[in-house]
Order: sequence, then structure tokens, then C-alpha cells
Amino acid sequence: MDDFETTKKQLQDLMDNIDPATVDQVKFRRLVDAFRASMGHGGTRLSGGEIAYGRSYERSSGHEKGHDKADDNPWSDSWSKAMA
Amino acid sequence: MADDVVEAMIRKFGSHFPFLEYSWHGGEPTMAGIDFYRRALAAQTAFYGDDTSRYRNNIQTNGIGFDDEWMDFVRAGKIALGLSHDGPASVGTRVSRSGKPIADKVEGTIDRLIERHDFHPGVLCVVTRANARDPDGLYSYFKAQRVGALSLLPHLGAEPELRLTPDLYGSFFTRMFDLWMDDPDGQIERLGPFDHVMAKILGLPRSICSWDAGCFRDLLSIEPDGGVYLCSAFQGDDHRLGNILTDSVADILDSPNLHAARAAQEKALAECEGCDVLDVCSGGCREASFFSFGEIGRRDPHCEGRRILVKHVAGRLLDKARHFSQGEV
Ligand code: SF4
Ligand code: SF4
Repeated sequence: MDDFETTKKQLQDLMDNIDPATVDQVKFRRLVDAFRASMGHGGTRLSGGEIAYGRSYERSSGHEKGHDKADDNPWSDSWSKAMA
Repeated sequence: MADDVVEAMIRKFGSHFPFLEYSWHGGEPTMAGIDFYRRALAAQTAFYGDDTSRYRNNIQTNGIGFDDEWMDFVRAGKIALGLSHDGPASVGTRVSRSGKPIADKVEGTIDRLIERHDFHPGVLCVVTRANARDPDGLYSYFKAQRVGALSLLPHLGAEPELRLTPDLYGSFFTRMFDLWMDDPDGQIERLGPFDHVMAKILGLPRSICSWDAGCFRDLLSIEPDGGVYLCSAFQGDDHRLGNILTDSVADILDSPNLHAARAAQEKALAECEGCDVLDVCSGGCREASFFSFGEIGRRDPHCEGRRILVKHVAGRLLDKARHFSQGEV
């Protein structure tokens, strides 16, 4: 494994074992929360604007706090298939 | 854009794709007037009926003349709103037609959105040699503006004097990340592109075109005459895929220009083979290649800066994870 792969692996292993309640830095806590949710460990999925859609246009910055939930992400592989 | 173009776009693409995000861009998209958007939303309702799960709208405006009527309209229509704003008048490069800086007008729009709707808009900031010199000042400025999200987009356009050098790209973006990450204030909830970079490092499913090899795969641009293009950066006959008024979606997606662009994208990505951060960076933006080198099929000119950025973010996250992981404080 190269250095960057090792860094990523170490990071992901550590993130999985962090209790978000102990993280007193808001940005990092949100990330821990999102990561643990993606691992099925509870927490809050990332939400908001362009992100919720998966792949979006980088020239759009529309965003509403807490508006969109990743859970109802309508984007799926079917779009890419339709584009093919 | 005429109503028949809007109607054909919704009907043809809406029939083909399971989900669409309609991004209303310009020039300045508000110049079309609110009534244009009222008709467009009515056309969407006529096509989709009550099924609002199949589409969304967003509008990207410079915020000038974005009065209360506009604000009420986008809020009521659930249109995601993005403001284009490059920082204070001293460093922002956006000017009105008469050449005057427009920053104060956008500031007024942000204030009014917060006051009237308790809405903290997302801002798209084009990063140039002018505003990249002082990342600390720029971060403080947007924080004071109380924006809810900030997306930093390196200048890609035809003006070489505004483009970031590799060094400036690296120093600006890494500093902005540190400022945001270490800021105990959560006001700026998201900072792009770092939210995408962090997610990709962690294997979370979120990204934008320029960080997910999205070129010629996830986006189509429709011009007022119905012409369909690769993305809004690309105009002219070489990048035209057809016309939504006269061509079928199948023909548009089988256009020789689309196949050529995808082949060029493959060529560009082949230059990234073996790169250690490829799965996070994904090879960048073909518009950036096009404006820098005159051809699509080249490696992103910000390659070195992107690699620095990805490694910096991963390193900072690892430090934090070590700090907060159990038993290792
Ligand atoms: S060329 Fe750039 S802006 Fe256009 S789709 Fe590709 S990454 Fe996005
Ligand atoms: S850092 Fe450079 S070589 Fe690596 S994937 Fe990005 S553009 Fe390609």
C-alpha cells in the first residue's frame, strides 16, 4: 500500500472508533457523525443542497441548511445508465 | 429561452432521465424575469404532476436586483439559491455593465435574505490571483457576511492573468481549509470543494463534477435556442450535441461530438494513471484543460495544486482522528 492509501485506511479505521460526543470541534464532529452513519452506526447523514444529489455541477452553490436529506437522494446509477 | 424550448427540454429529458436537477444559469438568469420561471415551473408541474421527487431546481445569480419579489418566489418555489460573489470590492472582480464593483449590492441581498427569510445562502466564489492573495481576509469576510455555504472555484476562463499559479492554488486552498476546519464557529456549514474531498477520502458518496470525473457524463447544457452542449463551459460547433427542439434524446446522446469528448476525457484520465490520489481527485475539469492548453484531452492544469490539497486534507483529518480516537488523546 502506498502512503496515501495507508493514510486513508488509518483514518477510516480511527474514524469508526470515535465517539462524536467527545469531539468538541463542530466541523470534525459533523464528519465523524456522517462517517459513522454511512457505516450504519447511527449519527446524521450529510445533508444540504448539491451534495444530496451525488454528482452535481460545480458552478452551482445553491444550499439550504438542513433542507435536503441524503436519505432521499434521488440520484442513482440509473441516471448514468440513461446517459450512456 | 423561449417557452417551446423549456417545454421540449422538460418533456424530452424528463422522459429519458429518472431524475433531473435543472440548474438555471446565465449570463445572469434573473434577466429572463420572474414570469419566465413561473411558466417554467408550471411546465414542470404539467409534466411531472405531483411527483416532485424526480426533479429539483436551482438558480445561480449575481444577486443584483434580487428584490423581495424574487426572494419570495424562490423560497415559495423551493428553488435552491446560489449567489455568485467573489469577495469584497477591493479584491472581487465582478463588475456591473458600467464597470463598477457589485460587491455591495450582493452584500445587501445576503443581508436581506437573512433578515426576511432567515436564509443563509450558499455563495460561489471564483478564485483569482486577486482574491487568492489574502485567504485569511477572504474567509473573515464571508464569515462576517454570514453565508451558509461557500464554494471556491478556481478561475478557469480565458483571462490568463487571473488564473492561479500552481503555488498560489496550493497555498490558497490549504490555508482556506485550515481556516474553516479550525474555526469553532459552524456558520459556514460547508466549504467546497473540501466537503467533497473529505467525503471522497472517507469513501462517502458525494461529489461534484470536477472531483468525480463527471465531465460529459452527468451534465448537459441547453442554450436559449435549444442547442445542447457538453457543459456550459463549452460552446461552438465542436461541442454542440444537437438541438432539443428538433433532435431526439437518443440522437443527442449518440452525437459524434459527445463520443469525441468522452474519448478526450479518457485520454486526459490516462495521463493520471498511477497517481496516488486519483481516487479522490478523479482527474479534474476538462474546461480547465481546454482553456489552459486549447484541448480537452489534457491533464488538469491544477494537477499539482490538487494533489497538495488532497494530501493536506487527508493529513489534517488523520491528525484530528488520532487526537479524538479513544485512548489516544
Ligand atoms: S468541464 Fe468542468 S465544469 Fe464542465 S462538467 Fe467537466 S468538471 Fe464540470
Ligand atoms: S492529482 Fe493530477 S495526476 Fe493525480 S488525478 Fe489529479 S489531475 Fe490527475
